[in-house]
Amino acid sequence: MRSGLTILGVGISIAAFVSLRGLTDNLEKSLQSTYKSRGSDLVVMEKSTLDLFASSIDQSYVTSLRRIPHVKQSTPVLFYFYAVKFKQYCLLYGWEPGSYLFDGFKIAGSPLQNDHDALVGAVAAKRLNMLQGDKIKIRGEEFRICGIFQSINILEESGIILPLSTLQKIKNTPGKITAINLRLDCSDSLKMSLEQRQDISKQVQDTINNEFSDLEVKDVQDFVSTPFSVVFSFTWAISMVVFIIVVMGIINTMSTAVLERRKEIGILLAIGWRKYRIVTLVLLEAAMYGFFGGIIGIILGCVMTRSLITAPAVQGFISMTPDSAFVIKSLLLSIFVGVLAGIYPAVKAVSIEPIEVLRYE
Amino acid sequence: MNKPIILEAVSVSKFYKDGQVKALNNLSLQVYSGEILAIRGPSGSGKSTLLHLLGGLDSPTNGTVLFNGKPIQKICRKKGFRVKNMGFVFQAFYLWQNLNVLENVMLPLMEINLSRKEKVLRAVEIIGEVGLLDRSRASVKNLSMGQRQRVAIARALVASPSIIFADEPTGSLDSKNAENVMQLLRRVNQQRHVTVVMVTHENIPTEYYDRQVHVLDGKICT
Repeated sequence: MRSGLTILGVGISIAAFVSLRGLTDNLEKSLQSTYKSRGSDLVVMEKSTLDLFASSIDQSYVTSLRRIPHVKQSTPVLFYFYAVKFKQYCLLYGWEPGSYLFDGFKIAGSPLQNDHDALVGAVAAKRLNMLQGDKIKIRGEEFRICGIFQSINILEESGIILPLSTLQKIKNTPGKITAINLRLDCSDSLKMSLEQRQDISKQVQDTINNEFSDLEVKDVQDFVSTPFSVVFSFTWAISMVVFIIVVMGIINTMSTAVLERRKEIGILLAIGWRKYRIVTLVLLEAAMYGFFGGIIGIILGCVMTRSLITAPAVQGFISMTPDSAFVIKSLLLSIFVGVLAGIYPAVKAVSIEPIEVLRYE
Repeated sequence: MNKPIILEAVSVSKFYKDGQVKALNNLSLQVYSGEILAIRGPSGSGKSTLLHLLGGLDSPTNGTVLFNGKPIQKICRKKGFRVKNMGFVFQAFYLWQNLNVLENVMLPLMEINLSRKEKVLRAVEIIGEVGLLDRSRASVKNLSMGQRQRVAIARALVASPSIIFADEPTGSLDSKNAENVMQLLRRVNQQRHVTVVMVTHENIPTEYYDRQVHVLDGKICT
């Protein structure tokens, strides 16, 4: 009964970890793939802003950055979170028509041609129940849905793309953009090694950092938006609390078990068992709590994550991609935490003197 | 006695509570190889304390215990020494209730480098020797008191030790089972040439021991 409850406790804690980390990891992947899928190598934003969405830079930098050696293309982007319907938030993208960002897009309908055309992502269209040719109102202005697009990225598919100048106008930020995406001349060069490409990317980043004091440049490979990094740190902190709860739970159960088996442990030591074997036995038991709790936690966590990503507040922003490495890591972490929690009871177990047990009995 | 000394207590004392309680007081005793030595005495006389010192489970306050001429406290620290050389039988059996007979008997073998098959074979052989082969897979919870003590004896013998320490081995048994256990100890003593040091406060027939010593107030008074 006690063991069962401990395993359940470990399971619930691991489930909280799995769902939290699952959500943030998938969000991080969504963000990264937004840039990668569009073929960008570097992202330039306002320096020292907490939030990518709070970044605001002058559009004139687009031309300045294009002059830097190895920069093949540069294109501005403007982001805007907006509730298109009640509590149905969408990420509005302001892109320049003809930008390389549209390369490889699958559009059912036509691309952006007029100021008041909107391209709606397949996920957003489904959520908002809209079809090509429908009208959509954004900040009082009416837009025609010229096409529904598909992307490999869930964050894009859940958004709406408007012409950059129109979004600047309705957002009241003329000439301002959120960030500039850069594509380097080495990005699709098959002749270059990864190291050579990384060198060129470094050169460009150094140039931007030296010449533009109010800009910050990041490689899309390790790009994590600052607000999300705050969220990630927060989830790590919660995970730490969760693991402390797991450790305390196992310590409590195992210490009680050791206390109850004081006599048996004393007898094993009396008949010649070495202390290391007792330690191994206790640690193995603690690891078993971690293992079984981990399995329950991973199953529960996956179910919780699946339920959470369908919640209206986050629907469409995060996809649930099966990640066997994350599952294995979570299970190993759970076992490790179990073993860690077993150390104190194991030390208690080997401090038992057989003679004390025999004398008491 | 011409037999070699296997175990010797040399002027051992054991004091508790800063010397206020003298469990053993300057006691010397020799145990000869292959004998059954009965240590007798009333409750609180110090006989169990003496057994614990002889078995290396406790350290004397003064004096020393020698096993084949070597200080027992030192050699007990060697890997596998206790399992390979000493077996213990207790009045309360001290079996693991959630394990079956075979598993209980195999416990000391965990400290010996043998394959699982060899361990099982060895345990089965000894279980047969104590007459419980048909109960080898039974839970010890379902055994009678006499059978439980036979399991404890099998556990003490399984690693083929040279000496067995038995603390009131018949203390929890009725007279019939007590006699069976004494017969069993005598049989293994004769067949396996195992030395037996037995603590008892009961009168036991002379055919079940070779020599007896009386302990009273922490001293041998024979």
